[in-house]
Amino acid sequence: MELSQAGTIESNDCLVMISPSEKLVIEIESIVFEKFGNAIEQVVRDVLNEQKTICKVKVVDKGAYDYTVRARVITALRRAKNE
Amino acid sequence: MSSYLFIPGNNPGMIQSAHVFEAKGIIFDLEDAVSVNDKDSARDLLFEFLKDSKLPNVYIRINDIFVDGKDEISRFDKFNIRGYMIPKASVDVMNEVRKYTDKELLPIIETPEAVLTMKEVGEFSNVVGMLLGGEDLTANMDIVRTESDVELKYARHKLVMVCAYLDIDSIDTPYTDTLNEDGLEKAATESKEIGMRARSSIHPNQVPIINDVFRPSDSEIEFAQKIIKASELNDTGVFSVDGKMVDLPIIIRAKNILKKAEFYENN
Repeated sequence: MELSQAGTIESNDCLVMISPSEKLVIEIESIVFEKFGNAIEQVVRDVLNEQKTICKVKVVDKGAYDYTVRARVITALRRAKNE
Repeated sequence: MSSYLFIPGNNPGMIQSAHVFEAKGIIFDLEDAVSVNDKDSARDLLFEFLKDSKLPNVYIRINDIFVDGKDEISRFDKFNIRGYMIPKASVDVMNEVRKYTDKELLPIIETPEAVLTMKEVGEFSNVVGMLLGGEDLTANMDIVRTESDVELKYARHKLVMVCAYLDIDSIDTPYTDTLNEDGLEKAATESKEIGMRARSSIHPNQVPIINDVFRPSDSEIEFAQKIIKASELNDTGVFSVDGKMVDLPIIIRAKNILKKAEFYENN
């Protein structure tokens, strides 16, 4: 696995950064963290579970909907795995 | 509505707002509006969006059918979309596209070959309209785009004629100066006058301007109603309404205006 990222820090988007790690680490920075922090984390966990992947994921969120967070994690993981 | 709106495939803010734009077709663009390094990102984003989308009238502008386009069709074909916009259309390209989908197709006429073979391209099954790609066409011919679009005259008029013959949408090239509303209105008026059925747009602000131009005016509707009413009372071939001669072609045009007005009323 390599360092990778996907997305942007534009409004309604999020930047997802992946790095190798022996345990699961999820960091979230969000303009709506208090209200949606848990939901964003759940989306990230769901994708990692589906792909049976353990790594470090950092999300810088600028008000992204679930589908965007999910898409950005999927892209970043594929890039990290060079698929 | 008479506008087709391009939305960049890697822009979540615009994708999730697509339902508020009153366009006849929303074209999620995976081709020119997405940088080479973000093609994968755009495909994933659009895939996740379309999974649960009920948005009507969605088309996807795919990439080159001989490179990434066929994989894109395979990936998106199961979703609730109307079809695909096909770049660099030609007879060979359309033959290839037909192998992968039965959905609606909007070929882009943007090469000299496509201009010369547009009737054959438009005759493929499931083609519901053809778009003139003015920027690529002039780039391919090494000529400069001008405000008057004089350089596109032959291609535009041919597109109108071929699409009218095939009874499919003729869609004019986008007006690329997104800040010039007067210029767009003038260009869209010319599109309507030469017989284009729609104009494409590259910014949401362009959509209502195009719709307003193409929507039949109140006076056009009123005059058309008068003609239809008079035609029902006259069994002679020719009669006059408000001092103007009316015969069969005028009655047909009046019916078309009322049909179009009804379409705008209901959509």
